[in-house]
Amino acid sequence: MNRSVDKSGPCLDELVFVELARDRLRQALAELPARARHAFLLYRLEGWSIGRIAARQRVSQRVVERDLAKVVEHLTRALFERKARP
Amino acid sequence: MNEIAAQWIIREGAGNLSAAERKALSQWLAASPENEASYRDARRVWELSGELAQIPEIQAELSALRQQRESRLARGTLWRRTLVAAAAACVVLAAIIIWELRPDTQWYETSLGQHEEITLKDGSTLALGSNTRAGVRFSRGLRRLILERGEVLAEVAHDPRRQFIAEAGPGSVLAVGTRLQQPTGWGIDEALKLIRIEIDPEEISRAAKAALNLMPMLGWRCVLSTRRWRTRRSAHRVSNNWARSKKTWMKHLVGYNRNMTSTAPFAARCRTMASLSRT
Repeated sequence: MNRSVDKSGPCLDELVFVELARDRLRQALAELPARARHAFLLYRLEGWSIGRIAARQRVSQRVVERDLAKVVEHLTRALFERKARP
Repeated sequence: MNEIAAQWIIREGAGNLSAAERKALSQWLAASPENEASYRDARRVWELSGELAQIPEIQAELSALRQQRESRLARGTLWRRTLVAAAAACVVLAAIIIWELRPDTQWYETSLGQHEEITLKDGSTLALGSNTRAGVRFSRGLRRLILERGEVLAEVAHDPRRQFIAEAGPGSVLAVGTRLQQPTGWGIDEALKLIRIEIDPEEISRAAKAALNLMPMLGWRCVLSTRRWRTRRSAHRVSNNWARSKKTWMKHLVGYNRNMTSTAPFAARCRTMASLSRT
């Protein structure tokens, strides 16, 4: 797979990385408490608004925002810091 | 550091950053390369996390969430519907109760030439003349006698909490107080116990009300009649007697009397008069 030739799709190491990242993210996500995980899934994958999630979870929007930020932080750490660790 | 980056990512994920937010973000990014690095990482995570949708167990979790959402929503609407239904039921129930508690009008009727004596719940008695239709409606604060046609002689039982109102045609007649002692110095025969008032249903006047007010006070019985007046002269006599009675009795009555003693116009305008008749 030649990077210079193939510009339309991701290159191999990108594909591998994505595969890897997906797995890591899944693991990291599983470590999170259910409310935060659900909020993130709905927010990221279902495109729900924070207000809607808050209404659904019967918490304030602030709580949802904090949950979401925590999830992103956790996932970032999981993806990059662990990877950085030998 | 990561925390703030994550917050920015989330805020960005919501879509539109305001101009002020964008400015704040670029300021924060410019503040330190570390900031920028953690932001880039978080950004990357955000993008990669879209890949999570490919994982079957995540899909399952999402669909479970969606299902739950649906059932929750359904439960929500169900709850709301139940509330609405309950409210409606309450309204209906209240309406039914009010309807049931609504004072029933008891109708009494006599045919031509027939007479009838009726004792009501409160002890009042009604004597129905011939060809009469009268209704009685008792509610908590009111006793109502409705004369549709004919003639009723009412002996009103004393009940200060429940006024007795007689209605004939468009106006209504109020009887307050009953069974007060008959005033002395009236020169009226003890045998004269009956006052008759004839009321034209189209023209019930204040005077008629006053007269009916007074009668029970005198311990007399009232007669409500829709029939035309017959003995006008005796009416005058009655009114004169009333005029001679204490002024404090009823101001209405004075007015009534004045009208009565004046001649035709009043009688024409309001065919409401009183007479004495021997029992």
